[in-house]
Amino acid sequence: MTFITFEFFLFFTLVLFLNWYLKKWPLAWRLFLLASSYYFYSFLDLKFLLIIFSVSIFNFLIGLSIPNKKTYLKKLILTLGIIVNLSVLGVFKYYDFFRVSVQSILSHVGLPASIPFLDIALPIGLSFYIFRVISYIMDIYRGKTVPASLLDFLIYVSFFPQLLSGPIARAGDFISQLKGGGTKGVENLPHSITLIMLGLFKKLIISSYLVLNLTDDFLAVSQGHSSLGILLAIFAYSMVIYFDFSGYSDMAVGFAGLMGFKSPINFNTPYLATNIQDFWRRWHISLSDWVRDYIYIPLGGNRVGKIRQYANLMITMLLVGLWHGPAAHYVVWGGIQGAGLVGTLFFQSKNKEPKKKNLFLGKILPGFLTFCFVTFSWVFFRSESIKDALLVFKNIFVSKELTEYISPYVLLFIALGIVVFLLEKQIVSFLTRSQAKLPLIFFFIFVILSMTVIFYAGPNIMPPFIYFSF
Amino acid sequence: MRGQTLCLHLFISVFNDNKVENNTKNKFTPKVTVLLFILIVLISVFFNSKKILNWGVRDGARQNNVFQNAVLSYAGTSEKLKSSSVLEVITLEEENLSSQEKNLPAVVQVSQEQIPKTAPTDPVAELPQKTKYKTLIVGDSFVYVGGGVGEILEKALLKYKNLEILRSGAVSSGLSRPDYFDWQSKAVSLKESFHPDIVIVMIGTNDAQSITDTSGKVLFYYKHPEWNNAYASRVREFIDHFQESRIFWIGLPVMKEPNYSSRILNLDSIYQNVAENFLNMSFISTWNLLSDSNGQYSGYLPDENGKMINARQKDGIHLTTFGGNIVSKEVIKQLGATIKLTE
Repeated sequence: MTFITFEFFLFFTLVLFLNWYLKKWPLAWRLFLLASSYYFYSFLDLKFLLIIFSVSIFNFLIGLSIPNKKTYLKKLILTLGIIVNLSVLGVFKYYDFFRVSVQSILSHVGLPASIPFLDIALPIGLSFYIFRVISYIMDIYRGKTVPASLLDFLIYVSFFPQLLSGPIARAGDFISQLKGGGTKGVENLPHSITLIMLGLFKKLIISSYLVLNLTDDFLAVSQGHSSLGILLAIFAYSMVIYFDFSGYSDMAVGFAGLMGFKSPINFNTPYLATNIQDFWRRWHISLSDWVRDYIYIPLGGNRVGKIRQYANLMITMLLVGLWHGPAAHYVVWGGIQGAGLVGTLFFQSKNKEPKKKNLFLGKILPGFLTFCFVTFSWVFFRSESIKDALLVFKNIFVSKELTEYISPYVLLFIALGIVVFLLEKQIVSFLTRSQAKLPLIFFFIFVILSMTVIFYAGPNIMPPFIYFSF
Repeated sequence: MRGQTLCLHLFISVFNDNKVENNTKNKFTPKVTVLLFILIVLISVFFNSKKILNWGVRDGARQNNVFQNAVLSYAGTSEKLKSSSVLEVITLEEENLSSQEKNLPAVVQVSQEQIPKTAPTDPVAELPQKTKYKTLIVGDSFVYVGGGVGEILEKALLKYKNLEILRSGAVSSGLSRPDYFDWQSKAVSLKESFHPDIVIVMIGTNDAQSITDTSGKVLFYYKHPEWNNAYASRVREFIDHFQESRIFWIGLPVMKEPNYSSRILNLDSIYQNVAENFLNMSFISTWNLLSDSNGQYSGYLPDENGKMINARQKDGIHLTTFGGNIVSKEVIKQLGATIKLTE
């Protein structure tokens, strides 16, 4: 049951009603939040529920054990917590990769061994909630937050709008919103509704259309396509991944907002970034912040000299790549991002006092170059292997044709996508303000009509979300 | 206009919220929010009922819950209301049957007799000797998208010098819904433009749903007693377009979701039966190739050395490169029994 289904809308309507109705009784309200999140998760698989519950209980106990202990003991408990959490992630996400790798290494050195095969599905959302619980126990260790009550903690880990693909909220920020029944009013209904409509539009209209009519075909089988056709598909994939993931995040923030919760924002017009560092401050922000706080800074961050800082950045980004899946092409993608970040820092350190530049040299050109860098690196992200990615690049140059027929609708959707990612902030702000000014009846008509039309124009098959796989 | 405002006032008054219109700052209260969502669900589902029923067919069995059943029932009723004068078949009936179907056990037992078998190549239909055989590969997402069967098979066949390959696929397409993609017309145009000697087909993933005509009018819902006959005649019609070609029809593999899989088994038996009545058509079963020893779904299958390798994509429908290679090898084996393949 994803955000783009009507059964989710029905489920959410009921949850919304009970959410606001039960706020008078904070305990009942919190119990209800937990029950609705678990019910939502149980649609996917009952086994997943057992895993999330066990992970939550374990981390709750770790969180309780850390305060008021001697430093070495605190460190020991934290280390145990992190190892267990990463092991859970490892078993579900990387076990088979290690099994095959170890088997092949052993057979190469003449020690054929059979490591048992386990047919285990990756519980959707695991990567995201493992990050949430690690941030919780690390924040307790650092004294940034105090252990939560069991109920609050269980809600924090499983809160359904943020469960499957983030944003990765911090315990302190989220749990404080559960106090005393939370907010008593919907703070900005037009803003939340705008985010939900925009998210639906991004996912159901632009992303789905481009996936079905361009990128899946051109990038999966680039042979036989023209050079410009492949370049266009690479460009379109940049849009597809942004609209898919940011569309999901917009909806997550919107749905949580309607229930009275503030979520961290996950995207801030990333394709308008003027360098790679800027890009990572705008792309999947809750993940970038997480890796900064819990990987990059513990590694020493930027306090350890230039060379170590560059190495720390590379390690962090390689791990971000690996987080997406145990495959070399993700690691290469992470490496490219790391190299981009190191390059940016190196360039900045050489130009400490940049001259005042005009709009073209200061924003447009660096923005365009950053976009191209990010866009071409997505080819490694999207492909099934490094070989496949290189084949896409090769086919740009070896293709016999320069151009080919591309449906005008595809071009129209790409143009629409460009408008959305260039003017996203203005669109959100305009729609929010306009809706706030509308008399209630027109507001209702506008929202209902927009949602109906977006669903109507959506694809005939249910499109999956890219980030559910991670 | 006045009337509408009055209605809205009345509706809102049910929630006992009289301050809404007077206080613009607080007009967006939780009650208004809930009311808005009730109306979104009621109106959007009504207008998008056809799409919802479509989505439900593909994803329905995966999500067995009261909310989905409620939405499907309401969508079915909406569809009935909207087109009761046009449609003879009530889509709602299909959904009722679908919910009965959902009560099937989690694992559908498939007996050895039920498992589709590869029909032996008919010697009568052997192709005349040619220096170059034009080979057409057609189908749905299995053929169209990378990593399925089509791409791998095409790559594998390209190494044979006496084959000329054309691959044509369409995502989400099939023989049931010509309103979405008309394979019969496409077959005619492919035949006229390419004149294939060999046609390799893999289609049907999206077909276990209502059969419509080209305008989208539902002719038979899936569980209708006439559905199998209607679908078989669609398959025969498709085959008829290629009377001068040798046809290899690749059966669909076992699927992860048991109810969907049982529908796929039914489709395979239709292809197999049709193949028995056409001299120029072979049916290649993939069921045993892509299932475990009990004929059940398995995401991982052993390679030649017994190492378990991921054969299916996460959706439990499509194939990985490894899975695609298994099917591709079998097709080449069957093809090789009909013509001499020269490398």
